Amino acid sequence: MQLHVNIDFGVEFGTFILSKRSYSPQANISHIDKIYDPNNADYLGFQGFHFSSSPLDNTYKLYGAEGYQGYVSSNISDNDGNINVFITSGLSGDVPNLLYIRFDAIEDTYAVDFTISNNKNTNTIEITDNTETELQINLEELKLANPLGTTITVTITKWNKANANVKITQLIAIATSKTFIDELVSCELSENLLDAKVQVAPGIAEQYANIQLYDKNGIIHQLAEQEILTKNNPVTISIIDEQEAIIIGKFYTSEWNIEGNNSIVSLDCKDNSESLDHINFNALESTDRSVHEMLTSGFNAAKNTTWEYIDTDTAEYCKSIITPSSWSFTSTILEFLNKICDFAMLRIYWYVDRYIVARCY
Amino acid sequence: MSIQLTAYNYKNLNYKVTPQNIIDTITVAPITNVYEQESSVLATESVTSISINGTDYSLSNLEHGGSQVSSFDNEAPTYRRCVNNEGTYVLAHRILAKARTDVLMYSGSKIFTTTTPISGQISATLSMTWKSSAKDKDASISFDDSPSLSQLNSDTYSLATWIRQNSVAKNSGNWIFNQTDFSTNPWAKPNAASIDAQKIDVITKWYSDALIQPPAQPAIICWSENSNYALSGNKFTYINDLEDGEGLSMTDDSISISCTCKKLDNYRVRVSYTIPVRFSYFALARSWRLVGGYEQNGSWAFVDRLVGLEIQLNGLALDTTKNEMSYSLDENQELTTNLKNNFNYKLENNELFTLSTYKDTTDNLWSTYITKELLTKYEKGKIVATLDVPVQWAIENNIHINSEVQVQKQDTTYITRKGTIVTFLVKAITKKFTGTSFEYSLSLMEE
Repeated sequence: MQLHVNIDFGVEFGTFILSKRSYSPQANISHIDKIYDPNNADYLGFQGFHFSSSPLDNTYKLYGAEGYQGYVSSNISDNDGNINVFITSGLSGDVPNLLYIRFDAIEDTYAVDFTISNNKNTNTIEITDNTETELQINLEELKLANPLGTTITVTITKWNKANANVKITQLIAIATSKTFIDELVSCELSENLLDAKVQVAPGIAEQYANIQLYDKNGIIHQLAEQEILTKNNPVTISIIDEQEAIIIGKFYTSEWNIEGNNSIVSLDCKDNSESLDHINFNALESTDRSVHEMLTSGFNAAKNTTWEYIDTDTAEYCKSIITPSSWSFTSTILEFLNKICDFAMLRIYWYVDRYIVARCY
Repeated sequence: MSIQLTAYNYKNLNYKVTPQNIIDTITVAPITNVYEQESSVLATESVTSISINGTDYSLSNLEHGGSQVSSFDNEAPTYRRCVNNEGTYVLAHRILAKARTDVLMYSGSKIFTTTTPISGQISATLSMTWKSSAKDKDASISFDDSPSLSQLNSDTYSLATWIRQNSVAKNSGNWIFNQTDFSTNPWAKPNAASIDAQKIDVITKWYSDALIQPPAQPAIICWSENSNYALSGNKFTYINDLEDGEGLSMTDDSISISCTCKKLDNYRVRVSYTIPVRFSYFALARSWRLVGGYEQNGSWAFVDRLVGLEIQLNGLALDTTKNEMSYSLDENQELTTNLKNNFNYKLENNELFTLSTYKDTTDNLWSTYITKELLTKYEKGKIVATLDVPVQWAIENNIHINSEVQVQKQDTTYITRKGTIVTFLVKAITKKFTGTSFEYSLSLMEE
């Protein structure tokens, strides 16, 4: 098993453009060799003229010598827009976390339904009922482990126009993060409900990760000198097991320790709970309320925050504790959640991408 | 089903044979959370400055600046008895007088925030503190000039001082001179949830006194209601053939006080008020004898200004008394107040935990439930242990928080307690990677 530490610095480290395609089937009007010149890694565009989206509706556009960049399928969609074409491309550079795809903005044609898959695991991303001519798709669900030998396939099953060719004018895989594998010197991270002494204590358990890296290419030093290293960059720690990435912790950068003449750099990370102390919480209006409803009020105020109970027993426990005419005058969400934990003897901890509520005893 | 941990799976086992986390006494302190029966002061705020025409003034500095005039000018050649600049009664046939009064009104609001919910009827009380002063006139200023606060002679200052010292609040008009004591004046401390247009009887009419008989004490122009009033023992007789001046009357709406409360939410109330913040009265008079050409003139002014405003919010206070209660378990495992007090645990108290908080039914109070629950589980303490496992094993066995494990020691016997195999729950995981190893350190606590 291999440990990967991925740090999203928020800057593009490498993009790649479709460099080698396989497709099905062969285009009749625009042959692949006429589109792309592998010797120059450049698009040539279509030769001659090309019917617009629907060759049966008497409309057409003429393109000049510069051609029309992109890929176009040879077969066309049926009367309902259904089609089955795919386009595959290999990865290079860092594992991408975003896929940018642009269909045909000029003709306003696009894929309605399509999937993104890879050749290393069975994970797929399904996009349905799309209405955009360009999208940026998060690739996290593919759980790509290693770019070497990995290909991504975009399979289009429905086009927005009947009797029309599929067109993709841009397909770019973007990595805004770097994955550190060989550079890892040490890493320690927590998944704690109680403290190490397992003492009974309610409240929010803050998780941490301390990482040491060998900055062999000087990238981190460069980023530091450009003042790009900031707090709260996402850090994902995964174990790679048979080509699938198992995430064992997600944190946010808190403090970098980078010495100018030392290739070993240290990074302290924290979980997301600190952010809750910076969000104001409106005082609760007085009404009968269960602990479950109190927790829901607290987490809802955080917005875009996922939480769950550790088990159904804890869920039932929280729903059964009721305070008549409950109210609370509290300044922040963190303070409010701590108050709930204090009296209901709960413990809340962050794991990967959500808060988990458990009993502290 | 518990995961079996053998010596092949772990290393660095440490466990305490003696139980840890013993709790034999628990203290809780739920709050009462009941409203009082009678209204009381919930909060008090002081207003120290106000904004007039876009300029901020501290309340002690309202002598100058701003004006909302509700005035009269009495330029007609009417006859008035007035005090001259020597402070003595003037016998005259013709007196010209000018007088003017100003009142500066201010509308403001204050939002009160309470830290406990507000319930029921709310009201506000305004308490005002006033200060008076008098101004001197420059004698060279001619009569025809409109009087200003800075244009009064020094003699009238002493007269004004005498007036203030000797006037009594015998009526709502005269009170204006006695600024330091508002205890008997209901206007100064309105106290109601909503006060609509409470009128101020500030100045009503000029009065003259007998032309012939001098008063025993210096006569002055006094502001009073439509009847005769004595001012510190003086008595004036109303002379019918002399016209009365007019001042601010009781029906003058421009000086109505209002004070309303609006509940914004459970914790905030806006108190909106309209009050006078400054009164100025100044008068200029000239009298002369038809015979002898004796001429005298005098003028004075008083300024009463608000120097302090306190607003009290009244309503039903919420009783948030903490009711501390401690328990141990008796020999029947029931709660008792005979405390063992060896290992105490105190629940943190806050407003969410009230006397009436319950679990499942209102008969099962939370304070009773949780104390018994914790004492039952922890009176005997828990066996705790720590050990390290390879990450591969942890991933394969899906080790997370609350995973159940039983630990077999090196001698192949299990960790037991009184002959029973202990089932541990994972309560903390430290995932450690170095160049040579990758393992999880588990902290376990007996279930």
